[in-house]
Amino acid sequence: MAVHPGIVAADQAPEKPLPESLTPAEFNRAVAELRRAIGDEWVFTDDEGDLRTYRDVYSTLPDEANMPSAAVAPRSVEEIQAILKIARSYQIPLWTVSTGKNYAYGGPAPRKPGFFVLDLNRMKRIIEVNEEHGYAVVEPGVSYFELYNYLQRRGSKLWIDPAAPGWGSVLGNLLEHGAGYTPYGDHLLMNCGMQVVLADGTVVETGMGALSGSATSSLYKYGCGPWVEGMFTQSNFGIVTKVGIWLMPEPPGYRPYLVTFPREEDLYQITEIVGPLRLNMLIPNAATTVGLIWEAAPNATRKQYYRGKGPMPMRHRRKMAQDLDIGMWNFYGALYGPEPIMDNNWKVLEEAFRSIPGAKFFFEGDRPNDPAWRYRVKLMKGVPNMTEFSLMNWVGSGAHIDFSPRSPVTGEDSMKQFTLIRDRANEYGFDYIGEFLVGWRELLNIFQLIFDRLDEDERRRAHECFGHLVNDFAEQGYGEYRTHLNFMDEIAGTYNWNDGALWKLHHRLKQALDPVGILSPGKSGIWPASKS
Amino acid sequence: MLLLAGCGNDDTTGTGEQADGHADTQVTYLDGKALFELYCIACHGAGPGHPGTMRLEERMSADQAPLLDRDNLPPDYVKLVVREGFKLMPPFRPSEIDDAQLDLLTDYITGDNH
Repeated sequence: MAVHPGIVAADQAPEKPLPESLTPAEFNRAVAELRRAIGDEWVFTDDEGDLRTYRDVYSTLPDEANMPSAAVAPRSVEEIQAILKIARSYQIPLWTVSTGKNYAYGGPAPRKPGFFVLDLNRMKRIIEVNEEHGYAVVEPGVSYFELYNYLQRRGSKLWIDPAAPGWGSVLGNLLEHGAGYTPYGDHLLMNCGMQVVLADGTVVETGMGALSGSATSSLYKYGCGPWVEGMFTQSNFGIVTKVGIWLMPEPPGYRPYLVTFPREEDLYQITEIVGPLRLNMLIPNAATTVGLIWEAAPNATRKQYYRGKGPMPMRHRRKMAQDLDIGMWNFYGALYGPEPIMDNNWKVLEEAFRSIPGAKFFFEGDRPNDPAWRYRVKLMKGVPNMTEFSLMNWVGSGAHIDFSPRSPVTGEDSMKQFTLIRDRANEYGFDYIGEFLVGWRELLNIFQLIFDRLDEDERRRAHECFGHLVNDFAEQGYGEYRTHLNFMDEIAGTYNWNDGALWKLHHRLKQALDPVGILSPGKSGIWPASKS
Repeated sequence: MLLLAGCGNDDTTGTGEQADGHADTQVTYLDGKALFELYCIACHGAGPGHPGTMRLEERMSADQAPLLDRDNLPPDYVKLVVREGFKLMPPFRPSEIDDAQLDLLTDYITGDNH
């Protein structure tokens, strides 16, 4: 038998954490069975080599807090079933990832040290693209780049809706309730049909897909009977191996715009204006109000404007805003459709935004050399890119975790959220780096807590700051929609109405669907009964 | 060149179009340029808007910041950075870029054929 790095000595204490259910000898046997099931080269155990690529390099905690003991990368549903059989037999916790690029929320790393990662990145089939009806059916490993390239090669007139980093998984982002910037920006809303492998190996097609020979699996969402797709998002009740995703037909016209605003307090009025315009669809895409530093980052780094410690003082921020010709807030939107419709809608929008003193307007051609403008223009028409990662250059070896609360779309709520986060971030020595998106009826504030990952003190402060923010916002009745691995229990604990009835329901479902408790234990604060 | 792998059809065009009209891109990239364009260029291309290039401009001359313009990259160093990550760049797993692909990618980045 070949000797593999990372196999542990059966007769002595292992050098790495293993799942609680496994002795070293059982670990070795399980790994050997997995190698036979899916091939030697797709089982990773070498802590000094390939397995290191599964760590969350953006975590606020040391790597060891989320290091797996092994990773397996199947290529098919059949291989997943074979892995599940072994996992059930040995009670191995399998932490599922798609492309593994969910950075800021954990990347490819598992919830607890010793878990096995079930890495679905090799499942890369684009199973169907339907140009006439506007949808695609994809597997977990298909990234936004890959789907976009595929459509472009074929001359498709369908748009995708990428998250800001284009390397993300179409399926994975949808399952995490992610968002994009075209009118199809609510990714879960655009899902139609799933294939799910349950813990016992059963394969389920949802919705109309449950009908043998169905022609409407990707056309009508609800099928007949209970609608279950949501249950498999941000959860650990099954492994989603295929999704249908609706794609937007290219509109006859596209007109992006940027409006900048000079004062921090302008956020109140911006939100008051944007709310009804978004609700009434005059702004048809995710309306995004971007804070100063977020907007500046593709063009500048912090030390170009401030070399001191702590948050960048206002006079330095004003200088940066002036140099880059941007605002304290920067609203991005786009018009879509025939020219007369865009012309008429713009009259309403322009009049509304002009009511804020100092508002400046920019259109196509006004900022040809500004990468911040250019990447927003791409995102709002579904062209994937990585420019937003420039934010990681803001400090030396930048890393981030994201704090993402939602509130009603009111000026008062936006200012309350902004000042709460800004003041808490500043207290811990961090800059406020955020943006506000109006999904439809709710305001999403994404705060990127950016820290130098090679600075132990910054990592510690970032971790503490984040924990405080969870409590601050829960006290105000705001909830986060998604969070990093290491804060999942804390966030779940804030959803506590009626003695935590909803999470009790989640746990009953978990027990029913995965009684051995092998699928992503701890995801969203949902644990198997044995670990509750 | 894109080669289909495991598609269960005889398509050799690389488009993945199957006879029943279903698309299938379960492809194996066996070309350094294709790999670079899928995995690297969005961060390491030339000009503004590329975070990796922006970062490298801080510590070297602007004409050496885009990866393909570098003339001092040892192949082993490229492989190390891909697997370990560097500064803001996270590691890439073998399930994304396997060892054979990493060889091709490295040859492309460090070679003159681009």
